[in-house]
This record gives sequence, structure tokens and C-alpha cells, in this order.
Amino acid sequence: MKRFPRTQGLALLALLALAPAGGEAAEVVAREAWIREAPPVSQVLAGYLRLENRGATPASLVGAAGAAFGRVEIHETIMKDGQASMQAVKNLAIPPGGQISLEPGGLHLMLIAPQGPAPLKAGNQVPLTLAFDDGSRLEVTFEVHKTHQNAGEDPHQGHGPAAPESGTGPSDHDAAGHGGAAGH
Amino acid sequence: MTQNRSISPKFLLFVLAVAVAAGALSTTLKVWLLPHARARQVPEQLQGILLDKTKPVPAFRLTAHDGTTVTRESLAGRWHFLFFGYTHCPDICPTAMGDMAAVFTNLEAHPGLLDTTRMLFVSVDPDRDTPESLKQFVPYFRADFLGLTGHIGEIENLTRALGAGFRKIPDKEGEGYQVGHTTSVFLLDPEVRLTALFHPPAHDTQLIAERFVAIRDLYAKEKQP
Ligand SMILES: [Cu+2]
Repeated sequence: MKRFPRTQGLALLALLALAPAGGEAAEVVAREAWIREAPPVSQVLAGYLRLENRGATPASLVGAAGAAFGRVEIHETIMKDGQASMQAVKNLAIPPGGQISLEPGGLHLMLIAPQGPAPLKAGNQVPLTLAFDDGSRLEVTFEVHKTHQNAGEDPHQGHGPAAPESGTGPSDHDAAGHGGAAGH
Repeated sequence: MTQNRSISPKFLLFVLAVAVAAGALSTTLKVWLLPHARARQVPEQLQGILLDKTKPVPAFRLTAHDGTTVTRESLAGRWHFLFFGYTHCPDICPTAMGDMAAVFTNLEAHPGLLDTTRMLFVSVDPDRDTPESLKQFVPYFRADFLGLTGHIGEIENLTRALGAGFRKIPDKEGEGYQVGHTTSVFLLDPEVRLTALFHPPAHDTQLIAERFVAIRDLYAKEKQP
């Protein structure tokens, strides 16, 4: 089972404080977590990943937060009358032994109001904390990619301390006060 | 004696007028009958993509992100891919534009082909998408992609004629809105007629490029006498 590097940050501490008693979501594993690089002007980005539930009980993703964004929502792109629109998902169930993919045109993490001093660029590492309905959480490092064409299997994901605090982009951004966990 | 036999100038004029009228009528009939009434044979590889009958695009007037005016007439003579979207769209629109950028990269393998091919991103959110904001969004995906915006009525003319659609959807919190929209990519031929539709998810960008080349070849064949 892969482990994700732990990232310290006041926003994450705030999130942990808000989270109900519970431990690590040891049963859920995240893979191929990536954020689409967007035009610098963009105020909404999309994050994608695959979640595997290796436990014997259902897991349910109920929220996500990170210092890099003002707010994170779970969204699903739906087709209605031949038109695509997005719908918020409150509860994303992952059956025991099963997995769920957040991918372009389907489910995504809606990353609202980027907070970093500079727009995210391909290669940046962005930590987000996923919250589950049992109070457990999972810290995941998302890598920024240009397109899904080169997202795919990410050899860096989950290996050692991939997101040093000294990195460029939002990972070294002082997160005090953003407390993105509110509302989740 | 010669007077009776000579053909009067009036009669000559009449004959000329009839000939011109007949010519004009037959040209009109040809134009009217041939491209529209004749359903073409759609090759197997283009089933579900190439229309069996082209659809004319009505007159419209929009502004491009570089400040130029774009009309139906200004599209004549080139192939155009059209996508309807908006810059506040984080999933479908960047995915489609990224895919189309990859399609264009594939098309670079065909010398000269991109000289007569353009990608247009038509905003369905003209309230927020000014030429200036499109300038910061559309060329990001590929420098030669063009973003269009303008009066909502002009955009609706275009979407209605092409069978596309869009609608504003207010956020539940009431602080903003999103825009639901068609996700197909529309292909217009050099006579500014809708000729093919690419439907997502169409992430096989190599295949889209190949099909586009096949459609152009077919068009060139149809043009041969
Ligand atoms: Cu969304």
C-alpha cells in the first residue's frame, strides 16, 4: 500500500481540528492524482484521481480542502438535454474492494479560487486533504499536468517526500487563515 | 425587303433575356438542388460523424479575441472546428480545447493543411467572456486558436442553426452561475456549411485528425467534375 507524504500547514491543522475524531483513512488509497494546468486567468480548476477502497466496509468521500484553494467541492459533469453541466456531489461512495475514478468529463474536484502567489504550472505539487464520512482523512499530493494525455500513471506519486516545503507554487504558501475546511 | 427579314433588336434582347434567365434559373436550381437535396454516401469510418446532408450556417457577427469581426462570410474558404464553451468552465471546456490542440498537433504532419483550418471557441457566456478574457484563455491551448464572443442573440443564431444549445444555471448559493452547453465539436466546410460533428468523449485525438483528413479528401472528390 502506498503512503502519501504528510504535509504540515496551518490550514491542514485547522482541517484536522475540525474533523471529527477519527484516524487515517488507511483503507482508501489514492492514485494518479493530478490537477489540470489552466490558463493563468482561471479562477476554477479541476482535480482528478482514482480512489481504491481496500477495506471491508464502504467508504464515502464527503469533502476536500487545501491551502492552495479557497474552496473545494466534489462535482459531477452530467448531461441533460444534450447539454453538459456540473452538479455538486455530497457523498461519493466507494464500495469495499472497489474503486472510483474522478476523470475529465465525469467526476472532478472543483478547485475554487486559487490562493497561491502564482498560477499553478505543470510539475507543481499540490497537497489536498480528503475527508471521509467516518471522520477519517487522506492526504494526497496532486501533480499539475497540462492535459490528461500526459497525466496517466504518475511515477512520482506516493514515493517519499515528493512535495518539499521549499517547492515552488502553493506548497510553500503560508496557509494561515485560509482554513479551507469550513463547510465540509 | 430586307426590313422584314432582319431580326429586330428588340427580339434579340428578348432572346438574350430568356437565355440569361434560363441560365440563372439552372444555376439556382443546381445550387439549390445539389448540395442540399442530395444525400451523400457516408463512408463507414465516418458514420455518426459526417452528416449525410450539409446544413447552411446563417449570417452572424461576432468579435474575436484579437478585436477582429468574424462573420459567416469571413469563414468562407477555410475549414473551421467550432466549440461552444465558457472560460469559467473547469472540466469539459479545457478538456475539449486540450484535445483539439492535440488534434492540431497531429495535423501538423500534413504540410499546408493547417493553413486552411481554424479552431474557434465560441463563448456561451458573453456577460463574463469579453474579447480580453478570451484572449487570456483560448490561445493558452494553442496560439492560433481563436475565441469569439458578442451579443447573445448572435450566439443563439449560431447555436440554434447548428443544433447546439446552452443555458445559464444559477448556483444554489446564488452567488454565481454556470452555463450548461453542448459538448460536440462542429466542423464547417469552406462553404460555411455544417458538415460533421465530433462527439465527446473523443480523447483519441489521432483518430479525430485522421477523420478530418478523410472528410477533406471526400470534399475534394465531390468537387471534381
Ligand atoms: Cu465543477
